[in-house]
Formats: sequence, C-alpha cells, structure tokens
Amino acid sequence: MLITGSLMVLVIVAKVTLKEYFAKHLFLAILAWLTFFTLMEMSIYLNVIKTILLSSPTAVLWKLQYHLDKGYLLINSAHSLQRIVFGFGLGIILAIPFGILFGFFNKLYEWISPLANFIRMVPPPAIMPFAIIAFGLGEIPKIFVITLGSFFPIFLATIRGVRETETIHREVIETMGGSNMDVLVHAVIPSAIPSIMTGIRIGFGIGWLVLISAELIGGDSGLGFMIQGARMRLDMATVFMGMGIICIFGVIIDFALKKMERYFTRRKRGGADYIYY
Amino acid sequence: MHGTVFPPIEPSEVISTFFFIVLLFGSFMTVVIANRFIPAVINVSFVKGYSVICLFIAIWEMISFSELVNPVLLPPASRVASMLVFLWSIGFLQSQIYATLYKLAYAFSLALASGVTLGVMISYYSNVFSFIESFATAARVIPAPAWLALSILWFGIGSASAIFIIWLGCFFPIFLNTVAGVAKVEPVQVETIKTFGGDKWDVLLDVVLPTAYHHILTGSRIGLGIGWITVVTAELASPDAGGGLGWMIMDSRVLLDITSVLCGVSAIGFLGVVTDSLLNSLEELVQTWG
Repeated sequence: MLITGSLMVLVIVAKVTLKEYFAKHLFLAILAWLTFFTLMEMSIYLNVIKTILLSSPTAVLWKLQYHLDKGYLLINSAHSLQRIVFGFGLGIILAIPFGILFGFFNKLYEWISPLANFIRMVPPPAIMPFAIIAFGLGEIPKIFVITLGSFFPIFLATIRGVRETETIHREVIETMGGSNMDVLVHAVIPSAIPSIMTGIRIGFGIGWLVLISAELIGGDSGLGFMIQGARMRLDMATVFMGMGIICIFGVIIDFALKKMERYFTRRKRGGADYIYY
Repeated sequence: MHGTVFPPIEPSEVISTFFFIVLLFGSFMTVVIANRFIPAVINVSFVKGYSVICLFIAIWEMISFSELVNPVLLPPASRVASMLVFLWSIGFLQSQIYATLYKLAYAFSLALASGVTLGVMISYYSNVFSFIESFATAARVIPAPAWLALSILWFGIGSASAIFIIWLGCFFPIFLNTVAGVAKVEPVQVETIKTFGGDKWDVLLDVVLPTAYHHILTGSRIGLGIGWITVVTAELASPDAGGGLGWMIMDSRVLLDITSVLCGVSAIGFLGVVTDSLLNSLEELVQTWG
C-alpha cells in the first residue's frame, strides 16, 4: 500500500513537471492501474475480501521473489516459451506453404474444405488426451496441439490473401510471358502478405490459449501447470503471479506481432482491417 | 452422472469392418445419386467434400483393421461409430451434449449481448476507452482457462465457474471488434441523420449498427471458436465444471477407453461445424437484408 501510494505521488509529480511528455490517456491509464492495485491491497488489508478469493499485490510480489529465488519461475517460463516457439513456429512453417498451395489451386481446396472445417472446429485441447496416448508423455503432444491450434488461422488467412490477388496483376505477368512461378513470386505472395500477418497474430493468440490449456490439463511444467498446482494448494498469490507473468509475456509478444502487422499492411488500400482475437 | 462406468461394449454390437465399408460406400453413392435429383441441396462441391471425408474414414478403418497401428491406441472407425450409437441409445451422449451446449450457449449469448452493448457504449464515450484499453489488453492476453482457478473459487463448483470463463473467452473478441467496427462509422453519415432531425437511436440503428455488423459477426465467429476451446478445456481441467463432452473425454482417457475419447472428439467436431455454419448462414442472411 505504501508502495502504491508513493508511486501515485510520483506519477502526479511527474505529470505536473513533465507535462508535455505525458499524454492525457497515458496518465489516466497509469492512474487507473494504481487505483486498481490500491483497491486490491486495501480490500485485503481491511479484511473486506478473504485472501482465498483475492490476493494483495504485496503478497504477489513476495511470492514472485520466492519463485525467482528458488528458480521455479525461470524453469516454468522457459518451458512454456519453448513450447510456444516450437509449436507456433511449426504452425507458421506448415500453414503458409499449404495456404498458398490451396489458395492458388482453388479446385483443390474445394475437395478438402469440409474435412478441414471439421478438424478446425475440434478444440485442440480435446485432442490432448488422445495425443498423450498416441505420442507418449513429454513435449511432443503439447507441441502438436499448439501447432494444430495456430495452424488454421494462418492457413485460412493465407488462402484469403492469395485469393485477394488482383486478376490484372496476374494477367500482366502472364502477358509478359511469365510462368506460374513468376505469378506466385511477383503477384500472389506480395498481395497475400498483409493477410498472412493478420493470420499469424490471430494464430499466436489461439496458440497461446492452447498452450495454457494444455498445461492445465496434462502438464508437468510450465506456467499453466504452475497455476493449476497453486490452485490445488489454494495458493492464490501464486495463481495471481502466474496470471501476471502470462499477461506480461502475452502483451510483449502481441505488441511485437501487432507492430509487425502494421508494418506489413502499411501500404494496403484503405488501411488494414484490424481483427481482434 | 459422475462416476459412471461405461458398460463394456458387446462384440455383437460392434459393426464389422466389412459392413462398415459397405455402409460408407452406400452413403457415398446415395449422395452421388441425390446430386442428380436435388442439385440445389446436394451440389457438386458437397459431393467432393463428402468423398474426401469418406476416404479419410475408410483409410482410418483400414489402418486400424490391418493393425498397422495398435488398435487399442487407434480403434477402428467402425468401433467408434458403434460406440456412438450405443452411447446415444443409453442417453449418455445426449446428456453430455446438453451439458456442454448449455454452458456454451449461455456464455456466448451473454458475451454477445454484453460485448456489443459495451462496445457501442465505449465508442460513444471514447475518452473513457483510452484507459480501459490497457485493462482490456491485459485481460485479453491472459487465456480464459487461466482464470479457472479464480473462477472456481469465486463462483463455486458447477456450471457457473465454467460459464464465467467461457464468457470471458467470447467477450473480448466480440467487444474489441465491435469497437473497431464502430470506429469505421463516417462522421458525415451521423451529421446527415442529425441534420434531418434524427436522435441518438436513429444514429445507432441506421448508421452505427449497419456499419459495424460485419466486424461484430467476425468477432462473434472468433469468439465462438475460442468459446469452444474454453468450454472443453474447463471440462477437461476440472471435473467439477458440470460434466459435458470434455469431461467424458477425460473420464474415458483415464480408463484408457480411446473409443469413447474419439466419440467425444467427433461429437465436439460435429457440433462445432454445426454452430459455426449457423453463424455463417446468419451472416449471409444479414448480408441479404443489408
């Protein structure tokens, strides 16, 4: 409480002194977050809410220090990040070529679309028990379900992007005597890239969701496992800490992907249609 | 419902592989013939898609029947089909489907109502959104299943805790896409309505919602997908989330009953396709009105 209070005073002082550097809404946002944390702290401190239902920010910070000291946090985050990197990376590597293939050959997609729709609508965590039995314990089933989750948004976005290729671009290249390969490299891929970037960002969101779900269901390490274990012990401070860490990683990666998407869609006509997941 | 042990399936109840393949081929031929007589309903692309699905099931059946893969780990499709028939006949499958769909429908309709209402409201008072945005971003990147621990303590065991996290999962896509859609409203149109003496409600019904509906529908389709993932995860991760197909999968997995696991997976996939295509046809319906 002391910390939040003093931070609040600091922010107000900074607001007054560094007026031009503080945008209005940034100030409001910081103030709102500080109010939020202060309310959390006070409700625990004054016994308004039981500690089993909510945790005070100071208790969370103590827990954070404990987990950092013991090294649990480092191991769990490293395992989670490793899984998302492998699963999501494999998803991108598989989805873009297949997307370009099925977008380019429309007739081919007509054949597989009902089956693909069916597989797309099965939530990857539901495959998890089956994947564990099929692939054994360990990393492979988790990476498999993350790949499955992030594959379809990227795949479908790539198909959509390839179809958005303007016929005139294609025809110009064909008139000039270009081969199918030239059409692919000079017309199809450049016009598909904005859509692919949107797909990658949404695919990350689904992959991140599936990662935490898979760790909740059948994990032996990772941030989701940390939360699930703490839930069993009714250790609310660790649950909040885990959610905070997940939030921080998610915000950083999401921000990076959003910047990347903005960069690649900057020349799209009428601006990018930003889709939230 | 809890602690139900699946009665072992009788060998006489299992559809034999030969009969199953005949059935599969027969259904395919029926579709092909139906294409001749009712091409408006069963068109060529339907036949193509159906043939690939039949081929997929037939290959699965062959792999399992020839024991290329251990049939305990990958039971043949005929066995899964007969298990589906069996679970339906004792009414077990229906009760699990009901439990899952109840939670999903409850949370999704709540999320649709709250997401669209709040999204439009926040856009009207865009000053407020500037600081709510940071809260929304923070809450959005925490996957909904991570809230399960808190949800169970806040709402107790049972469906309510699952409904809360499904709502959370569906809410943000709908809410944020509504905000993005309302942002596309052109001020000229609003001014025009105001010039002709329209009030706030006219602006909402004639300009804001028609402009934003495309984004709202995109958001709700993404929200439905996330809702399906969340409902299944809630049921898998916590046996106290009120049963359902996810619970059935987990329960059968513990018993190493892969046939029932695949029954649950195929039921979820089928229901997912049905709900997704319902939203899709809603989108087409609104488009024809618009």
